[in-house]
Amino acid sequence: MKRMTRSGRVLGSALVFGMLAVGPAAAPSIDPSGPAAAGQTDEGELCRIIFRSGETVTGRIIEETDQKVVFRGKVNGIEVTVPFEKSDILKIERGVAPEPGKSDVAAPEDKAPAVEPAKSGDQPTVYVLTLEGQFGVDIAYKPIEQALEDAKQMEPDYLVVIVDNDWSEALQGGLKEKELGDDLSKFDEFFTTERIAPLFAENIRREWKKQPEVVFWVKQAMGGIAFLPFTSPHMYFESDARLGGVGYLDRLFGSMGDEMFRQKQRSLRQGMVRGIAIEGGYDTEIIDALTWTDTVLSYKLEGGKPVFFEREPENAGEVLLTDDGKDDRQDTIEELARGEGNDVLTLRAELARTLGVSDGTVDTLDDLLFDLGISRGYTLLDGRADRIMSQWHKSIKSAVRQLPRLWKDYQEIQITGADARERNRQRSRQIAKLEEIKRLIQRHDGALVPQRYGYPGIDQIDIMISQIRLDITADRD
Amino acid sequence: MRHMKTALAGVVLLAAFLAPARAWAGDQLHLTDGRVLDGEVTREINGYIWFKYKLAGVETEGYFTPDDYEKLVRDADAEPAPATDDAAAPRDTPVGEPRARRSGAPRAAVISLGDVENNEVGIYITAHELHELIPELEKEDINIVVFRVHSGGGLGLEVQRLSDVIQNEYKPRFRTVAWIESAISAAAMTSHCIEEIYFMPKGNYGACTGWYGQGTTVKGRPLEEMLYEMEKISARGKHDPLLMRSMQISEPLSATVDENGDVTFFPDETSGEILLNPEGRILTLTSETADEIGFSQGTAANVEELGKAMGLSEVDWVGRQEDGVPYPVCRAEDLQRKWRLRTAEDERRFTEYMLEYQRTFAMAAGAGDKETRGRFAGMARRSLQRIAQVLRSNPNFALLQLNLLDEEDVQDWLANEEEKIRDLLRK
Repeated sequence: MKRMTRSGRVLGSALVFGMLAVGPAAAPSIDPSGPAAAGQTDEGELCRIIFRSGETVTGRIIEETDQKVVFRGKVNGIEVTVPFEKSDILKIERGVAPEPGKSDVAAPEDKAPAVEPAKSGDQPTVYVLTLEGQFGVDIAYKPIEQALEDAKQMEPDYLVVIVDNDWSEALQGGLKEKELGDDLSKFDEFFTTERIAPLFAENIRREWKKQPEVVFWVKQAMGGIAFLPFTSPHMYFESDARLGGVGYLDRLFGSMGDEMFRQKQRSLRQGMVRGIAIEGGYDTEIIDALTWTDTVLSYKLEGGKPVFFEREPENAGEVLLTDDGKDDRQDTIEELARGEGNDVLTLRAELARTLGVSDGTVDTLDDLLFDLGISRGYTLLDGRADRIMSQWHKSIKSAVRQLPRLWKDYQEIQITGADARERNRQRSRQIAKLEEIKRLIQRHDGALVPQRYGYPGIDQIDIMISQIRLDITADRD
Repeated sequence: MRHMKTALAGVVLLAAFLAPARAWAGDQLHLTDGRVLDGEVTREINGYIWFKYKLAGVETEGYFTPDDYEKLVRDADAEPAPATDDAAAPRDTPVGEPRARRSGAPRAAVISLGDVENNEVGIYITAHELHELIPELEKEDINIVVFRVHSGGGLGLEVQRLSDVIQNEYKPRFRTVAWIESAISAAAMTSHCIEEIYFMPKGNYGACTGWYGQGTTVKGRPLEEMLYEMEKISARGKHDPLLMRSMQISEPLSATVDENGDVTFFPDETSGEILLNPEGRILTLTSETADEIGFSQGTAANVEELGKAMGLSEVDWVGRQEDGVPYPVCRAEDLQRKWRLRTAEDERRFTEYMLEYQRTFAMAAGAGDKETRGRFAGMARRSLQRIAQVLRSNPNFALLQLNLLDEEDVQDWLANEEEKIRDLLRK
């Protein structure tokens, strides 16, 4: 159930703050007297000032303090000396080259950002980002960051994020056609979500000039990605969607260490995922039921809204969501095979709707937009998100293929030269190959984990390079 | 046990810069908890009052937020306090509300304790580095330091040192605030000496159980010492010790909040109205639970909201905007961020540095002629200097990487290695 509690209000006020950023057209008052004496600098190098509003101007900074810069250049064709607050400025690019055909003190650049924001009359604009494939590999920080940067430039009214991650047996070396059960838990994928989640929440609030309505449309959110939709107050489910795969937190770490150590590890994880729900405006009871086996949770509907009880049902109208999974209440293999277990919660469309987690059940984008109240017409923005995600997928697959080949190439370089010059040339080739492997790993930013395939990581490669360099130094004729 | 929520926001040591030659004499501060303190106002900024008074016969100085007091009654016969840079309130100004300043809003700096990538207490959050930042903060004329905490914990040995730096060096100089994004284990223990704590909506705080090896928790005498250490640190932050105890060991905790907002904690599941920690579990607070029991003074998603939650009608968040950083970066924070990056690089490459040193030393030792020996000895010396530089930048590396317990051990080790290189050159 969603609440308009403190977190909701916090989000609301953050929106207002986000919109307060003022660009050069509105912010500055023109100071005809020129730069102030205090802190005055010589006419500086040519700079490009990029405002948080997305607009830019090019000219010279003639005075600068911690709080402001005094800019001299042309705005709307008129040469002005203007103070700008640094809080309005996203970035100052210093030492930019004058554009050909323009004077040294350049006129303002085209105010349009690199990608033209959508202009569609009164029609709301919609940007769609689809997250599919393996979470942590195909669905990773870097391509999502790039796709959201593209979306930001297009200034959509709605950002629809489709979540449909792979939860097939192929993840475990089995068949792609066979889905994994609800009772498999990949809770610790949360640490990937922890890194990605701010892109959809605080980064948008802070850095986007125009605040979109972020809407998650869940087709499949199993494993750590299940927590991602909770970053937004708006979540929809497809008819056969499911969200879960993060249960049995109370069994995490099995028999490792002391009980108190295990409780600590579970407690800190529970605190973290509860925090995501609070930020999105959801009840933490739902998170507890998704993650913790011995959470006994019932609910009943009052005025169409659920009221939760942390106990078995006691009165008419109360429905058991999850039991404590103990003794004869432990899910049977028959229940688990049919996805009917209740030791931990897996949200399906109808239940998510009943509990108020989901705003509605929709099977097409048209249905979703209709439910959002923009059925009379909208513009679907032709963003680059699909291309970015698809290229990333191909790049990762290619990298996984390249890695063994590069490693084999490295190993095949034998240091057998007759003299030091020849041997050191071979060593230099080894270094070049290791550097190539390192770049490949770095380019895929945590999604390509070489140790997973039995190859050394970057730290180990650095040590190898360092040792080879010493070999070169030592090997003199 | 009573938890005095906000009555005494912070008893601070008398700092040199806070000592005006003259002050109000015979002032009375009426606190919201009903107490009336007799003493003198030594400084005021925007409704925040530094007040000197006697506590159990000992002269002390406390500082009070506008929420902490109902009114301030001044001695009519006393001479007015000298004006400070930040305007003192005129006598007829109603107290309790932030006042208009004559000049300049208070200057606040955000100092990050950890980030998503680098956040281990003792490695990326150290007392040594916090101490080093103070001159920079003073150069920037900072009044308020906000520690933005994002850490999954770390070395227990650093907790007391960090607590001491915050308590003895930061709190006397600055209004010191913790802003919690994630403070787990040693990070929560570090923050706990601070009275004024705010949460981000997703904030979490707790899970402070000490452990080592493959998940063996600290037991017996060392555990009792840790519990006692945190009782003392709880007292520094004016927090009920039962709260931290339930974060350290699986002791149940419940609480009741009365109509005045005062909180009573109980070390069981049933005596209090709010169950915070069931039997057998370890406590981690969220922003909601922290707010419910008054541990958090407010929830703020960004610095604008934080300023409001702190009761600041005006505040100058010092620093420049940087891409991807959700708060202005002042010079001290810039140093802190760069130091973390350098530490990450050093941590990642320390093994490489050591291997390089050992290898070049061995090459020097095995060299057949003096010239070659000299060349490799020079390389070994440069490697050793790089190692020394890392140890200076982050003294805990000495313990973690070389098992050297303190600065004296480090100096001995470095001198010994240097001597070995010199011996090689004498051959």
